[in-house]
Amino acid sequence: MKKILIVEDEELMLDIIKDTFGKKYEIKGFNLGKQALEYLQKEQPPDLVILDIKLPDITGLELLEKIKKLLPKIPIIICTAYDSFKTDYQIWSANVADYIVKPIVLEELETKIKKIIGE
Amino acid sequence: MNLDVIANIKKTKTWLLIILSVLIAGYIKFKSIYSIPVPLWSTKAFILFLEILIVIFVVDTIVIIAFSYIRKNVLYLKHKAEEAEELINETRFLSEKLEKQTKFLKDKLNEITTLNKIIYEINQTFELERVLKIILESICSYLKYDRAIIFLFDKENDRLIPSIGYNIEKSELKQLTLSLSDKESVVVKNFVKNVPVIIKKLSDKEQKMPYFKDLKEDNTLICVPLQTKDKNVGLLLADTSISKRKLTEKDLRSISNFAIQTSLAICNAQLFETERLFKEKLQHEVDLAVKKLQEAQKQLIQSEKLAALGEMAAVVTHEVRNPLSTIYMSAQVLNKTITQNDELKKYINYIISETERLNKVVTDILSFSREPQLVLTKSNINNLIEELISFLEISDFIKYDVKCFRKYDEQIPELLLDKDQIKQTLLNIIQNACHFMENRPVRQLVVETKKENSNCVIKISDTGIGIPPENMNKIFEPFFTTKTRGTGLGLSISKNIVEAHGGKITVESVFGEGTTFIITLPIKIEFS
Repeated sequence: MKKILIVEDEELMLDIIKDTFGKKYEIKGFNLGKQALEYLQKEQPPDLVILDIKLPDITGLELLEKIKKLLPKIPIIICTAYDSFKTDYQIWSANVADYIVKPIVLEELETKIKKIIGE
Repeated sequence: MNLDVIANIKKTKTWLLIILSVLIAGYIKFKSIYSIPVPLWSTKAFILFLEILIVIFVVDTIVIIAFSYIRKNVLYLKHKAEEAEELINETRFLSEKLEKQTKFLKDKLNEITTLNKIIYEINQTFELERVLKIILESICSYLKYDRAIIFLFDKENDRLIPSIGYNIEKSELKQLTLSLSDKESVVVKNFVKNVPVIIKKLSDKEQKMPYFKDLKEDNTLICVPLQTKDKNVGLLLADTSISKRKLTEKDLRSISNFAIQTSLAICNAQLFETERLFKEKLQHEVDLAVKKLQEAQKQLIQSEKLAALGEMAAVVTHEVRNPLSTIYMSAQVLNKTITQNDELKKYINYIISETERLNKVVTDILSFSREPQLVLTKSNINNLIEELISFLEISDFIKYDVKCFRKYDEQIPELLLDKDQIKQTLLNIIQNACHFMENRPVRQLVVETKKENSNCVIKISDTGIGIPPENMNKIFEPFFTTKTRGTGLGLSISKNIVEAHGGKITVESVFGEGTTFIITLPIKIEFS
């Protein structure tokens, strides 16, 4: 089973994603950026990271850079409530596999995950 | 006859009579003493005769003496009378002279009083036209002229421009501009010579000109150049064409006195006018600057407000979207689990559609509150529209039962544009069109593209109810809407997006028949 790491400060959303995709993938969720980093440093690297770019403890960009430093090849999907991310995506695209704007359409997210890591 | 000779004769006669009387008296006295023989003629009668003669001589002498005395006195008196007459004559002459002097002084006084009156009236105003009018009226009324004109000297074009006339039609006045290059003109000649004159004869050309042609008699036109110490101000013409009064040196003198005052008054008025115009210009510039400043300030406030609004909208959108996302995702999960026939399905759909609506509201507000940031890619506009229409054909066109016609111009090259935002703009307009065609007998949408010069023109026409004329100017204003469900930001955002692409969006509408939106986008780069 492929492993997905999700960093999302919205508990409920994390819960829904876990419920929705938990049967197909092994989901590891964190509310804080630093917790996620610690996990990545210690544990087996996941196949995909879904990252909210606005976190309470660390900025998305900072976290993204740190993850990329740690695991350069890992694919990352950015999840954001800012629709202006379309513009920013141009700058980030080198390090990012894809992005999704909230409110999340679950089917859309599923398609994106499938496209990157398969079933 | 010589009086001296008469006097001498009379004197001799008197002396002779005295001597004879003395001799006879002596003879009578001494004839008895010395016994002088008495001649025959010495009779008593003779002696009486002699005595009578003597008496007569004596009386005559006394009378002569008396008369001579009287005569002398008469002559003296006559001389005195002559002297008196001379004095009377002299007095009369002096009195006449005095009278003349008094009249002269009176005239002068009148002249000065008149001049003062005019100066007073001139000084009542600084308005050039008013000053000129007063001058002409005063000259005509006080100095007894029938008509008068003031020409102002236009130094730049070397000509005399008739500025104002008294008793002269404006239309006539307009035709009287005199060029200094007209060497034949008597008036011009005198202006150049700078001496006031009574004009005897005008040039042939002048005689045919309006105003001048009414001067039938000689010596009825006076021409006075107006000048100050250092500049030519203009020219004053005055005439007696109606009264036919012949003008004299005196008229020339009187009007010349006016000329100096008139020139000064005109100069002052011109200075005042220049200053007034300058002041007005300055005021206008200040007003303009103030207005610009106010506008800039307004814009600044507006842009500050917008920036603040943008920031606020971004925060609000972010904070709203997170819980919205949770609701939305929950609804999606529920929707998947609930079967199609379940009576709760309807409510799940409500949650989903209303969440989407809520998201659109915050998205619209966010889009409106910030400058559109474009992600430009080269795109085929026809394909882009086709993609959109394909989507609408399975959604809105079915919902509103709309028939769509396309007319694509294949000559349009690829354009550099933000696909998503242009799609959003077109979607806004087409969805509006569908909305306003609801319940219309004919529901047709025509989407047309065309290359016009260096622009790509997209026309979207509907057969909806059209826009009432009073709303035509408002439809692009933010928050203006006639829909029950709408933020009123759709067209405002669309306009911003099109303008961010360097294009423009216009609308044509016939109320009750339909509306056409025309989007013009510049073909910035043509890809071969």
